[in-house]
Amino acid sequence: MKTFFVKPVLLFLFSVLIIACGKDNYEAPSSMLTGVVTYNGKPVGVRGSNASVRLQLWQDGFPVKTPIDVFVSQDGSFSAQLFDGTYKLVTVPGNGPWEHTADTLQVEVRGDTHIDFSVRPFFSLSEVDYKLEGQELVATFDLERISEIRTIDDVSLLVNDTYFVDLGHFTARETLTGIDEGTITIRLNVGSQLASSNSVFARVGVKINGITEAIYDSHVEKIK
Amino acid sequence: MNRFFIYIYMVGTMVLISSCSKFLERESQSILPEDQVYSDEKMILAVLANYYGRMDWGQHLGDPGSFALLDEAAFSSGGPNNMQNYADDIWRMYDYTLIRNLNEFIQGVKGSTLEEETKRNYEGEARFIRAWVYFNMVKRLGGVPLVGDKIYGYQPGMNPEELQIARATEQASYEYIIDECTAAADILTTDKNANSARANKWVALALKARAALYAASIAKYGARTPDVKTAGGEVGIPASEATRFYQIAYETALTIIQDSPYVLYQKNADKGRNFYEATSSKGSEEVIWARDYKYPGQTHPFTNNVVASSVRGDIDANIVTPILNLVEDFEYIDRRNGALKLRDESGDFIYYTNPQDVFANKDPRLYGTVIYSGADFGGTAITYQAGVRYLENGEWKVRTGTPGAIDNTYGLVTSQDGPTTSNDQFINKTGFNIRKFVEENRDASTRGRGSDMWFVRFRFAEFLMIAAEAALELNRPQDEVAGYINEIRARAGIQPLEQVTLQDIVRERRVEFAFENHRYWDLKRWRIAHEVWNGQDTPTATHYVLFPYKVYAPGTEYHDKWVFEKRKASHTMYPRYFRYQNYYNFINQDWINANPKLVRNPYQ
Repeated sequence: MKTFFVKPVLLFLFSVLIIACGKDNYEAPSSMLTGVVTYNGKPVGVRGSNASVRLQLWQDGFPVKTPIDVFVSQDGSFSAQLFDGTYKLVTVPGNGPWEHTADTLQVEVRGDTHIDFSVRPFFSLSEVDYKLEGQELVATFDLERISEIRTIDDVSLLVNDTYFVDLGHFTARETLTGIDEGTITIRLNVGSQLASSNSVFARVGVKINGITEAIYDSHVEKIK
Repeated sequence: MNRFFIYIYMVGTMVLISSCSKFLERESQSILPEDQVYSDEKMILAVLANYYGRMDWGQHLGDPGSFALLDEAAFSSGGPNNMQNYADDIWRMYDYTLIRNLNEFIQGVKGSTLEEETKRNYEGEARFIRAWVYFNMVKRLGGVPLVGDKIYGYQPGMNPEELQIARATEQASYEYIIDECTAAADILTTDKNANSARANKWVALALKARAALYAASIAKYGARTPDVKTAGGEVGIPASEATRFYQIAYETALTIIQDSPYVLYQKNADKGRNFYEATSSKGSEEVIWARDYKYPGQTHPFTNNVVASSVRGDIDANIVTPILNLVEDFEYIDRRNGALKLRDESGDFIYYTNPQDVFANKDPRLYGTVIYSGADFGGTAITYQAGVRYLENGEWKVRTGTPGAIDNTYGLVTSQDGPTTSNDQFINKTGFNIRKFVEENRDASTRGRGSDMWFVRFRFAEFLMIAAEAALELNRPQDEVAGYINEIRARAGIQPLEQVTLQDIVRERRVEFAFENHRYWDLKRWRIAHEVWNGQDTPTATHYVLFPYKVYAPGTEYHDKWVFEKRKASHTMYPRYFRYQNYYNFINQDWINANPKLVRNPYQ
């Protein structure tokens, strides 16, 4: 008699619990915002590791505002999974290798959205070319000053054995100082890297005075 | 008859009901109301003790790992350390709970029935602690909300905006701390107390001098990091304020030097031993304020965690060990360049007869701070030996082994004190151990007991250094500047300086105050942290270690001698990387949500 009674009650309680679960769950954000940080329509390369360079998304209309940090990867691209709505995309002062402006980019997210985020970097790299001459890696590029605010600390040619190449992750490096503008050539002996690593990637970077970040070639060259 | 019972019943009930009221109105036996607490000195002390126990922030002995994050020591037990850069919230603190408790304490003491003088002393003590809490917040976050003496409360229906206070400027915050210290110093006793554990007049003045020095150097050197500031002055102090703050620091430091009962400790003729006792014996007359510990009850695991293997009392050892960078920053007695002489001009090893010979004539403070190979600890000589260097067919080779294991040919190959490059737990990886604040009593290195060594917060030497630095910045005569710093150097046992630059002060503070929670904040206020710890493969950002090898070459002049190899630390994977955004902690988003008036910090 007793057991006959208890089982249906338990079953009933369980079913109540299971149904109730559905009520307090929100839909996950489903729209993907992707984009590229660009200058003159070309992507701007940055340090992609270590959550170094970021943009911020803000949304108006709520009493408490928490920015969404959007981290930029080394080829200048970024992405964020969001709810549909209107956002403002801004630079973080002193963070990326570009001028901070008060202008914000209004972003309408309706489903998957792609945007170009235009910035004014302090310097720009173009015509970057990597050549392997025997054991010597030679990089040439044009360095152009865009903004008068900052100067250059140094210019580096970096190689690493993974795809992530930046001033925090490299196996060899050649640095030139006292550089301003013009066509730059850097040579680096990579003999031991070519011998010891299964693959070798190279990239040039320009460290800018007064900020933590450097500006890089947006393309990573596979030399082995 | 029946009615009679009803009457009795009614009377009885009334008696019970009236007695009930007394039963419910009894005073609690377990809860002490405020006026009782603040009218009994023993209870006031208990409340104060609670506050003193809530002030361990940043590097402190309860968290030995905190000493491995800078360029003084490295993690040395187990696998490599992968820290790539300083977190945006490293050592962040924002303790308005404690500020509120202190305000309640001040109000409670003011309204108590104690004697006027006693009350004033307690008030001064609480005001000093409050200034210390603010100082710790300001040096991490820049300007913070200043709530004064007010105890805020929330009633339903109230507009919460009254409780949301905006950040004061960094300058105003430092000025508040300085004013509070001045006021506290006026009402605090001048007497010393047991183990320098409690605040007195000199402790309040000490904080005043330090806070003024920090504010002054931020004002002066802020130009090195022009972007590290906010528009409203919450971060950054105008350069024009530097002289005024340096003047306050200078005058306050001189007051402590001239009038206080504290002196440089020089009781032991052995200079190295003397320096260890100055910082790490509770009899030191140099210490103005310390976080005191007492066994049983109040102990910390510092000794247990950092002790050398051969003198440990438990399984733990070597979790944090000093690095060569610190050792080489100690000068020689008569030579300013402290780099160890490891190789001759042609690049060959220099052979030493005894392991300690390479450290001969080093600044005796090195002995008092670090255990190096051949030095003793608690009567036991500690010898670090990474391996054996032996000749085979005319070629030098290196053999390493399990720590402590004896080889038939070479004898002891690797000392049980290491160093090694293995990932073994509790095995030394750097070739040194910490001596400062480590207790020689072997029981103190057990897990169960812990150590009750104090942690020094203010000591006399700091005020000589503050006087020297402030005098230098105020362009006072070099004789005077050098005079202060030379008192410290004479006590240490090294040659005096004739000309002093800021570089000399940076270096003197590094070695004098190693492991005393100064280095990080010093480099921040001078705005050179991003250059010293630039994240690149530079001598200051990279950790180095020293590997001693015993030579096995019978029949040659080298046999049984020692050579030393300087190498990169195997277990610190990345150089220290202090980014501009690390000058001030980020403001926690939760605090902003609770108080939208909080301005974000730079780079946030």
